[in-house]
Amino acid sequence: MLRNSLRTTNSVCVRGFSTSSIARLAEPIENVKTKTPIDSISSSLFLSRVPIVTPTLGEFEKQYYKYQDELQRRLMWSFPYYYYFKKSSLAEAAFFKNQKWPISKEEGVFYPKGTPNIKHLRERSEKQVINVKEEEDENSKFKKESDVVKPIVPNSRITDADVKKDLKSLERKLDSTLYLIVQDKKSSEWKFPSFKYNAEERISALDEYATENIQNISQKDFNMFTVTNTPIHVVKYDSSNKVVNNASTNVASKEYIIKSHILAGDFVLNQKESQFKDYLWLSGEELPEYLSKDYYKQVEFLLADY
Amino acid sequence: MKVNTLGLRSFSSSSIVKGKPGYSIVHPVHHTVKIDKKVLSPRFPELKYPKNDPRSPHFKPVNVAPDRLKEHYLNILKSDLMYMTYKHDEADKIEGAKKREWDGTSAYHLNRNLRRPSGFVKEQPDSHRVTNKNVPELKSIHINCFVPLAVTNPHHAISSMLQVQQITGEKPQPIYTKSDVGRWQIRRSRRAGAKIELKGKPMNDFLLTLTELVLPRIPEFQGLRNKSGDTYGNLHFGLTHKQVRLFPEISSNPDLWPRTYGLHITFNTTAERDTQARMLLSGLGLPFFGGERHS
Amino acid sequence: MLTNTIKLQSGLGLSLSQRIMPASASISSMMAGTISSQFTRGKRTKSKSTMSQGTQRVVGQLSVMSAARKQPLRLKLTNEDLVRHQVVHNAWAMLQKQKRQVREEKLTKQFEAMQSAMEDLKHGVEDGGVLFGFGSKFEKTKKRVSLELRVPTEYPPNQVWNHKYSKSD
Repeated sequence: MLRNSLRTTNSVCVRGFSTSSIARLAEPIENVKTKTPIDSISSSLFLSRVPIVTPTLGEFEKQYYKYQDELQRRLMWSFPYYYYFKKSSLAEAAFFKNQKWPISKEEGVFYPKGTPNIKHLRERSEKQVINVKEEEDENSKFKKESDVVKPIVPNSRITDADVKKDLKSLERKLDSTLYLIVQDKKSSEWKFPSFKYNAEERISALDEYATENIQNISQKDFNMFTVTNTPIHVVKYDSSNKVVNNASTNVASKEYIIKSHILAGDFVLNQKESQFKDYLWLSGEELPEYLSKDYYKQVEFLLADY
Repeated sequence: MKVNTLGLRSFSSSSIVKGKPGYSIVHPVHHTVKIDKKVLSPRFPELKYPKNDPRSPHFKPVNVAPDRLKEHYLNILKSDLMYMTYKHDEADKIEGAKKREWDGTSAYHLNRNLRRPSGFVKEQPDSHRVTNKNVPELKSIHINCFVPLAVTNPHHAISSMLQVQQITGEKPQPIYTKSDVGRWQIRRSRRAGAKIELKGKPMNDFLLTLTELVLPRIPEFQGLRNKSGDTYGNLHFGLTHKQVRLFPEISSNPDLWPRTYGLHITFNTTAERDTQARMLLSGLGLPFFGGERHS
Repeated sequence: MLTNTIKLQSGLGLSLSQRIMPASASISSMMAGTISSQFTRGKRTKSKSTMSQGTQRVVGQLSVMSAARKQPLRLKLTNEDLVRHQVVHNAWAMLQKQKRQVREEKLTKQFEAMQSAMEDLKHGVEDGGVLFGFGSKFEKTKKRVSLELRVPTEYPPNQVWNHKYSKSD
């Protein structure tokens, strides 16, 4: 009996996990009574191209990483060259030839920067610099051969599309996420592509409906990864097609947003067969220029950090 | 022995009364307070600094370069994983199988230990639904390089240790054998390989090397087995000694490595279920294959 | 350049040693060279060549891992440098904290938005619960992030984007 009672009290004392979210769900949901008809529902596609290169560093970040890197180099153990290069081998000679030796200690000499303290060919009070690049020898017989092996030159982080300011290219702004926005033929408003349901057709899932429709209005094939079948957000409009920001306004139509990433191929709009007249791939920073203020405010938190 | 009446603590006072040897029921109180002598001693003041202070001898700069895997995770993967693991109207907490009460039909149930949980031998932990607070994350990677050969030839213990050090860039710990097994020529407490727990940037660097340089070069590699995992969100796979040769640190100096050693790699994640851990690792660039069962 | 400095150093060393080294020192060093039985601390008693090749390799490997003779001198920062370091460190920590807060806030909003969108889909659409049924369908297994979603690199690949994708492939 005693144990039973103890157990029950114990279970009561257990702290619930994230109780606030339950409270959030229990709140009355607006417009529950007024159900929106299916032909006022549309499935909207939040299609993005993830960054291809790492974010461009700010000046402070650059300097901070440089400082930390220098500290690390200063505190590193000396390079065990004897492990990598066999004694009195050609490789060792080539390695030695590239190195700049520290100043060694001589008796009776005054060193203003401190007495040299050298171990393993390294000045212990400084960072060790290892030169791996082979010096070019003018008289070398193998010069032509080394010309064949091209040195590795990294590709530019700024592409042709950046230079030309081609807003329709997927190769622009490699260091930031790009989002597909389209311009409506009737209202000339820029938005994420959205597709209205037809009451007469069979209702298909939000994610399928959006992905099928976007492929249908594209001239080229493209591959995409739809993150989930669950809508990640809903944007509501009133009868005059303005974005609803507060709960008291009547809702006339709704757009459920489905998240997806483009992986390969191109989206090229087929203007004749769609309700859109233009499309752009824009970064998060450029979106406010094109989207309406209310719409941007609704979707701003969906955008990635960069 | 009359000193006892003064209230002083003494050992085995009951034995005197009974006239026979006994034991003290008074637990000794000394050595229960842990003293950090490093702090008290005036001898090495620099040891008192925290490890991130440049005056400390343990100081090691951490953020030496941007971590592109971490940035990718925070920028893209984290919210995607939150979306993918979302299930509407899911309970906040699903209680794992716990030990059960006896029904009380027998008088002997009174002081009996609790029944084992139904379907399990041990109690199972509770699992929680994924919210923005607990999106699965890679906590650490454990690398275990067990070399039974090293018991008979200690040279292998040193070589395997250096191999782990070279491919991870961090200092490994030795592994010791735990038991005597005559058939396998294993004897207790001999050095037999190396292990390491990678965290932070070294972990992400190792994972990127693995997914971008090593695994694509293994022709027979299909991916991690969908059945791998300890049901609590930790996945596991192994590399043979031949596959280890594909690490750039070893493949660039093949002459130095006449012999390499296989590895066991464990991905330790914050996910509470294996299915979620697999979802996370697929996002970090690891392929999976085979049939999967949910847990 | 390199040979020049070596010459210069060795020349200097020679002249110095000739000038400074006392006669007794040179004699004792000569004697140490000739009399092998005399004990000298740190002198190799076993020559390396007698070790087998495998043992030599392991000795080399051990020396790579050991800290002996490889550790640099400790950092010695002046007070000014130390303060400078701490300021930089604090500035970095503050920046990271700001970024983290922004990210967490955004993630919370995203989670709440999805939750309320699903509630809305459940109660606010006149479709007999079809859309909600599709949207709340949850597959427990085989949910994967696409492998083609690559981790960004520091520089772009030679082919920045794969334009030649076709469904039939």
